[in-house]
Amino acid sequence: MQTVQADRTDEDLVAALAARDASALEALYERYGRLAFSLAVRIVAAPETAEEIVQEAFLSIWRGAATYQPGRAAVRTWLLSITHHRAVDAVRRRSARVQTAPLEDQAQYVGVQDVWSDVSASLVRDEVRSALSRLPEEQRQSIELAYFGGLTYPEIAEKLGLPLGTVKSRLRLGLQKLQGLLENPNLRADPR
Amino acid sequence: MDCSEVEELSGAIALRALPPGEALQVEEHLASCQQDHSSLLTLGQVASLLPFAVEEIEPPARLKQNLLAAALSDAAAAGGAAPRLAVVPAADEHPAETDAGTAPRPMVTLPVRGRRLWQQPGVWAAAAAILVAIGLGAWNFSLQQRLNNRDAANARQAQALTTLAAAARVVPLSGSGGLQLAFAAAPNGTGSLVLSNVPAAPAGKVYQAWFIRDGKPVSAGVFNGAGVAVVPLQGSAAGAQTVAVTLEPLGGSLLPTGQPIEAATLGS
Repeated sequence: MQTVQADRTDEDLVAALAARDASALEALYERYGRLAFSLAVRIVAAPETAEEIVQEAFLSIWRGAATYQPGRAAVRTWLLSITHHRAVDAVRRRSARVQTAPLEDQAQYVGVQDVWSDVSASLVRDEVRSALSRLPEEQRQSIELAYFGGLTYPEIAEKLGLPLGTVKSRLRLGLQKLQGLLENPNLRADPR
Repeated sequence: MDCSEVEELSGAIALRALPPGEALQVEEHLASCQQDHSSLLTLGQVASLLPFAVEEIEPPARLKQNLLAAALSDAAAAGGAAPRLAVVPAADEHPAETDAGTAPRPMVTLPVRGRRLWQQPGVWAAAAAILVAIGLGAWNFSLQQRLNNRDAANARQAQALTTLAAAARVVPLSGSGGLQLAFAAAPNGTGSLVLSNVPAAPAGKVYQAWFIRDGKPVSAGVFNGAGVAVVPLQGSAAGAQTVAVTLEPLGGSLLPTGQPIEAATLGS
């Protein structure tokens, strides 16, 4: 049974979710549950809260599967985006700093062209980690405070004692540099 | 908020690091702005890769059990046919030991050696999806249309006439798309597309303009159609033999994903 599940694409699984096939939900969880949980734990630093977040993220896919558009293989991106959104919201609610717009219980799928759906997860992981390590420290720090710390850019500025414009630039330039590093294998191959 | 401010915030937008008030301002700007803000999509795609940077942790077995139970309960509450469920193994107190070597592996395709993540057609993510994912809500082209009113329509008509009057040359496009488009080239090589009653792009799609030089297309920008009279194109037509328009996924594409629906020869 599990071998058969492994042969189904993400699109197949989401289509099955729309047909209320819970075995497809199980298969999707087997594929991405670990990554989603790891992301949630990284952000909220509380395993039990991370469990709730991941459960809600998958349930959002379950409920919103009917909106999925075949041919747009972006289920992984969709799932991780929801996970990140909920995790950051949890961090911000906990600190009662910023009120964010809540996600609907049923995540509306809007087509996202997933450029790396057919690239092995381990390759993506290696490339992303390598590229992050090659960012200037100040850019990497700001990006991590934003994405994994759930801080807004004014909060990052306050935390680091920097002007708002400096933080905005670091976030923008850091992501642009990440893009360049991911696009150019020669840059990735160059020793530091 | 203007375009330059939005671009300055592009990193913060992609990382969902905007305070709510600014997020709303960005959303309002994007809903009515005709300029190309595809940098938001690119950086959003980059940000979407960040989860892979985390150290992976095995979730407890109860997470899957609770999820499946909640899904069954959810489906039952919603009514309809009972969901199908595979036989679920009994709970195991040591999920890591149980899962190792037995969990189904996802189907993956090993990449061609040296392949770049971004070297695929359609690399631009759908604008609306990225913005939803980063908490800005849907970039709704129909909202753009609702924001248009008769005065705005008249202003656009005037803009189109002004552009035509100032153009060094005007080249009508033709093709199977049935659109009334003309390329108005300024003396310095820049140009605009002048639209006449061009309908909105189909749902999930956007029009994209291209300058084609020696057979190689270079994006000149995206536009939706309805309510827009003039689309300033990015880049220069200098050296281009053809200007063309294709239908692309929301947000545009790195390279055309289909044949042009309208095109015009610009000459040497």
